[in-house]
Amino acid sequence: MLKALIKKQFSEIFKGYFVNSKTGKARSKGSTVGLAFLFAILLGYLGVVFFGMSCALGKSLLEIKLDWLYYGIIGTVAMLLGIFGSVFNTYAGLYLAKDNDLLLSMPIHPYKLLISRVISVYGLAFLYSNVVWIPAYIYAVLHNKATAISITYGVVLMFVIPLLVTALTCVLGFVVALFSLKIKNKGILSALFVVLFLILYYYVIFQMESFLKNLVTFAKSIGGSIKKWGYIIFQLGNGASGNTRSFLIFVGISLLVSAICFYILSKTFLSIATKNQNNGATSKGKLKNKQNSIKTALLKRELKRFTSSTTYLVNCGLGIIILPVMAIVAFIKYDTLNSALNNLQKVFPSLPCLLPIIIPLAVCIVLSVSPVATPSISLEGKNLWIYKSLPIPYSYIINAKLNLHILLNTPSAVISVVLLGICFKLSPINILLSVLFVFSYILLSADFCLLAGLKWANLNWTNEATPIKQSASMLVCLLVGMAIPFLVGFVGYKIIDFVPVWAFLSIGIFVFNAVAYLLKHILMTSGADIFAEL
Amino acid sequence: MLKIEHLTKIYGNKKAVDDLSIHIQKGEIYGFIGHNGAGKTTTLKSVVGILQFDKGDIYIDGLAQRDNLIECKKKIAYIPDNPDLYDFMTGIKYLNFIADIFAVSLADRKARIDKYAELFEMKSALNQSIASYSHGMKQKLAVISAFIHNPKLIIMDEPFVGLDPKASHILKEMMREVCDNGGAIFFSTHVLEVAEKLCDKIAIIKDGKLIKTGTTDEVKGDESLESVFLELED
Repeated sequence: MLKALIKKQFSEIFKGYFVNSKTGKARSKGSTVGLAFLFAILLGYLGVVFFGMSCALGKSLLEIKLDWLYYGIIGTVAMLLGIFGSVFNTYAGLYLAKDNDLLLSMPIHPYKLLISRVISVYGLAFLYSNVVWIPAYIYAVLHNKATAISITYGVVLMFVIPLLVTALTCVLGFVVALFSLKIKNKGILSALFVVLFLILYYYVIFQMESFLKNLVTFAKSIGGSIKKWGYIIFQLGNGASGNTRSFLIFVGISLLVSAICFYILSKTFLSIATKNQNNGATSKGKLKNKQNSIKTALLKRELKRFTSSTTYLVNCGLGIIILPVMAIVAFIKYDTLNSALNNLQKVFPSLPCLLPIIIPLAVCIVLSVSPVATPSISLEGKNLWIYKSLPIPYSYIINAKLNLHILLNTPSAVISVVLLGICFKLSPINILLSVLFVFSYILLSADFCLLAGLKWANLNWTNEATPIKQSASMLVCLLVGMAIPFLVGFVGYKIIDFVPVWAFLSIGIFVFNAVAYLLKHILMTSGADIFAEL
Repeated sequence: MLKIEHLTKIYGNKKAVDDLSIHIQKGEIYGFIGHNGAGKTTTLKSVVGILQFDKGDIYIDGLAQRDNLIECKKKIAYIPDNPDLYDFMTGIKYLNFIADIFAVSLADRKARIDKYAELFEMKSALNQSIASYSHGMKQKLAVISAFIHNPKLIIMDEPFVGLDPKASHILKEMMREVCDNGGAIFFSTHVLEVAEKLCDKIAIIKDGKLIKTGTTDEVKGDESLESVFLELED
C-alpha cells in the first residue's frame, strides 16, 4: 500500500515530464528529454555557483587543515538551501492535498499517507541540499584533500542531511498549519511569515559573506566558536572530514530529530488535515452587496484568488515584496553603497555611465521571479466551467489576468527604480526612462507569462503547488524572464561606447513594447482560442 | 427557446454526441435521460458554450450560438453536475461576482439573493467561505447564482443530486415558475420518477444518439418511464 502511495506521489510530481497536461496524452521521448534537460541545466547552474563557493572556502580552509570547518559551513549552507527550497511546498503538500478526502476515506493508516507525502518533501530537500554538498566534495577530490573514509561518509551524508532538512521543514510546515487554523486572511499572513523567514535567511546569507571574508584571519577563533556554540555543525563537519565518532553522532542526532518530528506529525496529521482549512472567514454580519463593472469584478476575483493562496503569494509575489524593501535598504545604506561604488569604479571606470542601465535591469531580474500570470490559468482547475459559462469574451478574462500581473508588479518596480535612481544620483530623465523601461518589461513579461501559462495549462492537479511550482510553464517563464535582462545587459555592455544611455534605454522601451504588443495580439486571438478549447 | 440541430461532438475517434436534434419551446421543462457516458453532459456543455462542438448548430431564443456566443450566454444559466465553485470566496461574494458579470442592478440582486437565500435557508451561510460548504450547500449556491440574472433558459446537469428533499421541492417549484414566465428548462437526470412527474417533454439518448423524444406521455405510453428506459437500453 505504501509503495502505491509513494508511486502516486511521485507520478504526480513528475507527471508534467511524461504527460501533456492539456491533451492528457503521453509526451514524446524528445519532449520529456527536453524538459528534463532544462531542469538539469537549472540544477547544473546552481551546482556551478556552489562549486565557486566551495573553491573560495576550500582554498583557505583545506590548506590550513580546517577540513571540518569547510564541511561544516558547506553542510550548513546545504541545509539552509534545502529548507529554503522545500519549506514553501511543505504545508500545502502535507495537509492541503485535494485527494485528502478520497485517501482518508480508504483503509489507509494516516501515518502511511504522511510517509508518502514526507518522502516527496525529502526528494525536494535531497535535490536542493546536494546541489551544494556534492560540488564541495568534487572540489575536495579534485585537490586531493578528501580521504577514502571522508568520501564514504560524504556519500552517506548526501542522504542524511536531507533527512534532517526534511524534519526541520516539516516542523515549519506544521507550525504554518497550526497558525492557518486560527486566523482569517491566512494567505497574506502566511506570506508575511514567509517574508520574515526570508529576511532572516538573507540576513544569515549576508552575514556569511562577511563571515567568509574574516575566515582566513580568524579561522581558528571562529572554528572555536562553532565548536562551542554550533555543536551539530561541528559534528557534521568533523564527521564529513572522516572522524567516525562525529559522523555517528551527527547521523544519530539526525535520525533522532527525524523520528521525533515524524512522531509529532503522525499524531497530529489527521486532526489538522481533516479540520476545515477555511472556517476562519465566518461572519454573522449583514449580507453586503456591492456592484462592480465586469472588468473590475474580474480583476477583483483574480486578486482574491492570488491573496487567498499562500503558495501562490509566496512563489509568485515575493519579488514584488522584496524589491521595495531592498530599494529602501539601499536608500538608507547610501553611504556604504556609495563607497562600494567608488571602489568598484577603480576597477570598472565606465560604471557610472552604466548605472542607468544596470539599475532597471537589476529591478527586471528581481521582477522575473514574480510571474503572477503564469499559473493563473492552471489554477482555475475544476472552476474553469464558471468562466467559460459566463457571457463575457474570453479576452476579458485574459485581460484581467494580465492586469493583475501588471498592477502587482508596477508599484513595487516604480518605487524601487525611483529610490535607486535617487540613491545613485541618476538624472531625472534617466530615472524616467528607467521607470518606462521597467514598466515595458512588466508588460512584456505579463504577456509572455500568460501565453506560457495558456500553452502549458494543467487543469488536473490535486495540489495547487503543482501548477505553481512544478510546471513547465513556470520553469520556462523564470528562465526567459531572467535571460532577457541579462541579454539586454550584455548588449548594453558591448555598445554603450557608441550609443548614449538615453538612446539605449529608449530602444529597449521600444523593443519591449513592440514584442509585448505582438504577444498581446497573439493572446487576444490564438490565446482566446486556446482558452476556449481548454 | 432552444433548438439543437444535428449536433455532433467527437473526442478523438469516438462520437460522444452523434447528429442530435432537439427543439425546446418556451414554457417547457425538457428532461434528458440516458446511461452514464451517453453524451448528456457533453450536449449540455455544448449548449452552454463550455465545449466547442464539431458539427451542427445550436440556436438560443433564435440566435445562432456559434455566431452570438456572448448574447446567447446572457440568456442562459448553467448548473453543472458537480458544483466546483470558488472556494476562496464567501457565498455572498460569489453571488455578487456572478451578478456583476451579468450586470444585475444592486436592487435586483439584493431582492433575488434575499428571496432565494431565504427559500434555501442559506442566508446565514452566505457570509461563510464556500470551502466550508457541504456538497448540498454548494449545490444550493449554484442554483441561487443561476437564478440571479433571471435567465430565459436554464441548463441543469443532475440538479437534484446532493439537495435535501425540501430543497429539491423548492427547486422544482422554481423550475415551473421559470417556465410559467416564458422561460424553458433543459436538464439531465437519472431520477426517472422526477423526470416522469416534472417534465413536459423527455429525450432519451444512447451512445450519443437520440433514440426517443416527445411529450412525457408519448415517450412512456402506458408504461412507467423506467420500463421504457430499460427496454430502450436493452
